[in-house]
Amino acid sequence: MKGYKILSMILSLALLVGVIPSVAMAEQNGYGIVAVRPIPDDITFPEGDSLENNIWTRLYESELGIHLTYEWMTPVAQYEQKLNLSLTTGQLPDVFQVNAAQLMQLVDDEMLADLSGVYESHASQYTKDVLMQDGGSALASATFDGKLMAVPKMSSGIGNTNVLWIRTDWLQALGLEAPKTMDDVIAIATAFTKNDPDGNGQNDTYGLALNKDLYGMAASLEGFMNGFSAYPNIWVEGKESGLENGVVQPEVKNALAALQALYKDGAIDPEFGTKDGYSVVNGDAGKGKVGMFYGYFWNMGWLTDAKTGNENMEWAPYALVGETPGGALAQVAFPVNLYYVVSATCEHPEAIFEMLNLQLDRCFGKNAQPDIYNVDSAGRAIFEYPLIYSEPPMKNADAQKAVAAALASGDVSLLDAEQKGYYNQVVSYRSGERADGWAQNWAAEKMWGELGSMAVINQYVDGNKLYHDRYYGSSTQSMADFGSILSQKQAQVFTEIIQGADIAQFDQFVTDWYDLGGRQITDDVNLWQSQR
Amino acid sequence: MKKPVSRRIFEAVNVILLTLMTLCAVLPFLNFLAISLSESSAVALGQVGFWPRRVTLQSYAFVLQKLELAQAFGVSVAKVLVGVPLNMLLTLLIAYPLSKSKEEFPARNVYVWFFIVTMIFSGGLVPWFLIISKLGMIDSFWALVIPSAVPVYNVVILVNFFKGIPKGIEEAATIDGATHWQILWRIFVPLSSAALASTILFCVVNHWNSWFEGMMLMNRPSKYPLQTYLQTFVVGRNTQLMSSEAMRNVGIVSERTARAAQMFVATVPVLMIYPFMQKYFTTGVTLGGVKE
Repeated sequence: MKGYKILSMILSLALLVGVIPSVAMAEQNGYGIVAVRPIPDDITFPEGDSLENNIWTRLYESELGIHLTYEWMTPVAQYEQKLNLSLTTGQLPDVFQVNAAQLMQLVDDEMLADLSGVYESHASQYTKDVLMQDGGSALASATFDGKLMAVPKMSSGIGNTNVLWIRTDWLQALGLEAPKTMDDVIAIATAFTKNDPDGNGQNDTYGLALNKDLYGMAASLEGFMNGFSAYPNIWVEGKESGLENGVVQPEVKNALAALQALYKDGAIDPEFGTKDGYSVVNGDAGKGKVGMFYGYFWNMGWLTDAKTGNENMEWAPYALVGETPGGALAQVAFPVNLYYVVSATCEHPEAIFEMLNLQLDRCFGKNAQPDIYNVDSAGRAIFEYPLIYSEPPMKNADAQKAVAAALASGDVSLLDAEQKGYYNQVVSYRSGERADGWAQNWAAEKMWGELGSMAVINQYVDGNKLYHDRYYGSSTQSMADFGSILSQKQAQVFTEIIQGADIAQFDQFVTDWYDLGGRQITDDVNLWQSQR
Repeated sequence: MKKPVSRRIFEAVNVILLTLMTLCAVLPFLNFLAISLSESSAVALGQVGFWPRRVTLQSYAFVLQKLELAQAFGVSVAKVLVGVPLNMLLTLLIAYPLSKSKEEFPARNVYVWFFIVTMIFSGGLVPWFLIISKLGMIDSFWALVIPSAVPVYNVVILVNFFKGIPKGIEEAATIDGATHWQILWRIFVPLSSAALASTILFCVVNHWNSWFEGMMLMNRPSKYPLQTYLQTFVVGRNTQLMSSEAMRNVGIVSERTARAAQMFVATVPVLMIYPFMQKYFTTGVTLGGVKE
């Protein structure tokens, strides 16, 4: 007993001794960075870790000597409001995340550090490559008067295009073919509604799922509109000259008329106005109430519970179809809407690039260990932990090609660690074994396999089936002033039209859109175009 | 003693309407209870209505292990234990003078308006935040208690109740040499137990249910009261503001049943107080009607 006590004393002394030098070291070489951050929903940590002390904060400390502390943190849904409030006190954290409107405001108020110099001196070559992978438009959107005022949070534009998800077991049950034109899509939606695809003898299914915001990640309208050559909410080349917003073009009216007809036929849930994308897909599609929706490539990840409970449920992704055979152009919105900024009073503006270098290097670069720093073996989203996060825009497209090649050849030597993870999931699913995470493996097959959603998107890229947003400048004052009223108006009018209001309301909407500030925004966008 | 037909129709309609209203309140509750007791794949397939399918206590086991929930529960309990006595003390001290007539307390109307104005107008979000921040209360427990220390609505209720207490009692006490202090504590407080019980209940429910200030004034979730925690992590999910990478991750963690269980755990304390306080409700809340 006594020996045990002495042992524990020695051990705790050893612990203390171990701690003291490391603290002293940090004071010598390192410096502190005070930040604020949103807390991602559903984030989980290994035992004992937290947002303030995890593998990434420890890496910042050991590799960069940056001691990161958070002044505050709040769930992602409240971040914008909380940040606006705390900016009113005039005290800015050193490094934080803002949206385009907040960025412009802070630049106007001269509260941010000019990052042009530290970008040249501290960003690694790989970081520069990633930031330039989209041709430089992301950096251009963060540049004001020739000065780099923020670091864009890079994400993939093509990863945010729509594919068409259809329940293939329902297609088979009704003897239907995959769609080639929008007429086919409408015919399938009607058949899914009226011909009892689940065979339960009840008229309880819908053909096409929509979410209440109409656009977004799942059960969205972009893909449907693209089928009518309409490109809502991105900037398109005008019929005569200059850039115009896609939402006020006459093609949108055709798409809305088609949606109205579907709604009248009962193919769209009359309660769509109350459901967000998650509840439509995870809820309605999971319960087998709806058999088709447009959405992002990873949407099947929301159906894993349903797949576990109902193995017969089967989905497949299809490329967008147009009014005539040959496909449609999928719209690609400008993918950057978040920026990382440094306060003008921060003594170490280079920290932002040091942290970004490290993150890109460990997640995607030469030293990548994605199973440690990206998603760990327990499925925890480690990539949510670092303060600064970006991903190479072409990452997912490249991964699908690599996985498909490895599946064909059986040669995994060319795969990087993240790709190998996807490969293993697909192989495990195809083995037919009901291993742990079987439904997740099924979702991986739907993304990365030869017929997966990312393959569909690679077809868009290879076949030039994309319509890129023609505007990629920074957010303008007019967008900040009128953007939210314009999108509210749009949501209201479009929802009413879908639910049966006179289609002529669209023409009134176009007039209103220009009068409520749209004209000013269009002028600003064309001014940018002419100065480029 | 046969009731007239019209009376019986009235009663039948009454019973039906009240039953429907009760069902509107009870059924969602039962649905949540059923979800919290079911297996998550059954919930995803929409098989759970008012009766749990494949019953399991897993979600409750998961919830009771959750440190965050326990912490938030603790903050809420502290908020009620500190906030409600403070509310009641201030309510009493304000209501007593305001219940006097203008002859006894000449400046009464000035003070009444001073309080009423805050009921009708608020300074707005930014001034509210700035004041609390300049007073140094951001991220401190007191920010959850002090800014809401005077519930004016309760003051109005209590003023009206005090006015209803017969003047004679007070006059008799004054003749016997009682001070205002003694009249308040020895006579008014014991006589108004019904009103006090209902205002206490209002305060408890208010403190238990408020969530917005927790979110704006606290700097990290470990200091959130229970409802803020539930609102932000369990109920609220603003899909428009979430990044695509984050949304991808949502499906991996299937938590519908755990969410239901957490909401259930949070409602139980208030549910347990209500039946005991309810009998005071009808007599306690007197908004108008000066007697005498």
